[in-house]
Amino acid sequence: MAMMPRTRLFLGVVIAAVLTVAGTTAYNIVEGGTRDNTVAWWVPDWDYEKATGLVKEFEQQHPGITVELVQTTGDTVANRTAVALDSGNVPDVITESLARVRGYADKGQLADVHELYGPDMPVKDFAPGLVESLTFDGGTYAVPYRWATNALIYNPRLLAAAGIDAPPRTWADFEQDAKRLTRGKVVGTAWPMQGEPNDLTLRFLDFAISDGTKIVDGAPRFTEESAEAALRLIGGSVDEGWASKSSFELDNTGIRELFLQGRIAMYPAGVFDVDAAIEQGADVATALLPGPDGPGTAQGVGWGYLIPRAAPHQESARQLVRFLARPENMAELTVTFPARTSASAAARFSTPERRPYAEQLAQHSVPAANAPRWTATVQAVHDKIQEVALGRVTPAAGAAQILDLVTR
Amino acid sequence: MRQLAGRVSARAAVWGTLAVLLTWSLAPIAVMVLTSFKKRGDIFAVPARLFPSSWTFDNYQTVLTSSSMPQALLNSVIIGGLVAIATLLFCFSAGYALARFRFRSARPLALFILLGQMVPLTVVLLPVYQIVSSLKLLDTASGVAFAHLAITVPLVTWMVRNQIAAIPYELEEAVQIDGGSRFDAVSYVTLPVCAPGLAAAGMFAFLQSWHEFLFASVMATSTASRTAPVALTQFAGEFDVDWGATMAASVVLTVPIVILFMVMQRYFTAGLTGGAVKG
Repeated sequence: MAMMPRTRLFLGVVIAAVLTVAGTTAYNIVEGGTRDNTVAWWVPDWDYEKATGLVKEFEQQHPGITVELVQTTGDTVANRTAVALDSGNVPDVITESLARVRGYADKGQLADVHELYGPDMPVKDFAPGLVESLTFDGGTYAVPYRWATNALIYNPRLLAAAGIDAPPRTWADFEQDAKRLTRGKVVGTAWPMQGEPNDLTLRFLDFAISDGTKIVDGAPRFTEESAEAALRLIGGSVDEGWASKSSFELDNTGIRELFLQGRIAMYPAGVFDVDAAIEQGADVATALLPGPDGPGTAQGVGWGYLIPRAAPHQESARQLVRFLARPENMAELTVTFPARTSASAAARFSTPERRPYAEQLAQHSVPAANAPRWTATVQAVHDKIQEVALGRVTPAAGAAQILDLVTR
Repeated sequence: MRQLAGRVSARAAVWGTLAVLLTWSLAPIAVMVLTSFKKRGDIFAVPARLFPSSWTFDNYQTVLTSSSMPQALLNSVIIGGLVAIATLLFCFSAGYALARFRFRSARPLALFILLGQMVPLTVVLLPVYQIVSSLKLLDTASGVAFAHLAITVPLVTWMVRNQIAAIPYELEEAVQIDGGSRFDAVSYVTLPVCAPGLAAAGMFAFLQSWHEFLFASVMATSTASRTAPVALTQFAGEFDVDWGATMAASVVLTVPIVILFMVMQRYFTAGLTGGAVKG
């Protein structure tokens, strides 16, 4: 039976579409097959440009290895890495947040890289406790390359105008100074209660650790007093008005912008904010984080290189990580502080504004909590701090509830 | 007189409600558009201002010249097109079979297909990733499109099935009585009659693909295949969010879809309601 013209056209279009889809798939399968001899390295956007230069150098020094750089973004890297590791289809090297290493390692998804540490890369050369925090169950599961912590950023002009001649060293000073600074359009301090929940809980945990909470096996072991004191400092300050009420709507970027406008006098934050303030010519100085009766303790957070256990090119991946962990390459890839002491020699890491950060890192910091059971409670703890700030829950009740959440 | 006053106040209440709803719907869009023209200092001005104190195109310049957004927009168009075409191909075939062929498990099968729409995306993420990965389609436009089919196929199959079921079968029979084949009946009767519905289904598939984030963020690992919603995240760095650029990118991401919707609105509305009565 002869086919009618429109039917012929219809079937022709359908067949063409099917062939196009099949052809594209076949092309990709063939193309994918040619990538077999390359080391795939997932690198976040902010490192991509410098990583490109380092890869060129690496390929010159290792003619047998080609590196394929794949860009990730800060918002997508965690999800993408988790799915890749769960599926077993993985790149060879991943730049990832060190806070997530323990979760992957607990599932047996990461290669043990302890043999990379040795005379060329001594454990002692890394920040105190850093490599230990990545070592569990007999293996070490990452090579850190950048490390940072919070310290106190303040506006010296505003402090001078309020008759304060030195930055606060204790919580009592901090509260007293913040109250004196809260006048007119200026407020003493602010907290990031909007955005990433981890931004707020990190500060809360810094204060709790300064007052007796310990981190054991990557998870905080709170004392009720320290949790209550930390809650009183953050939640109570908003409730009492010496921290900005707009904290409920501020993330890290928002706080920094208000600081640059001279509306927030001081706040705990990372060194990136200092660089931004200097770049804009703002009044800025830094100091150690205040503690209950002297310098407080801050948590160190950072990024490192992981090699998945299922990575197809284990040896080449190790060579790449070894190369990237050289002090000069480590320094090249960081805007905060390098994880190795020997990489911190460059002048840009020892400016007057950065010195308190270096001291905080070297003498008053511990690696951040990274146990999956803690990260699973971060949102709930964040909400509890907000409740205290809203005055719905007292710091004592909030502390008891947080302890309950964490132990559960 | 009292009746007139009652009618006026009822009308005023309706208009008042509509005005509130309009403000509620358009306020976020207004903030997005106006923020995209603000300078950094304006965005965080206290007290907050809706309009910029001085207008700037810098954010658009950043988005269009210093980011991967143009490439990502192109990727989104390609992937959305692929998804729309493949969805129509698969769903027209499946929808036609479900509407026209009588077989024992037709109803349970149709319901089973719809079940796919009820499952959260995160649940199917890993299996879909493994399929795409084993096809060597990771980090390719067709890989992302393949993943998006998991979202579009269930619902569109139902949409198309209802469209076809609403067309009297007697029309197809007439073609066959006149000597045409079943294919002729489909291409001369069924397809033209349900064309608006298919256009709506294709547009629906395109829209789903256009704004999908989860699958795209995992399947597309490089800028070469990154879609526009994923590219939006590049303006949020480790320590910093460039809100001006984010809003400008959001405008760039929204405008093509608004234009497409305005052009095809008639088909879209007709297509979605077609077959709604008879199924």
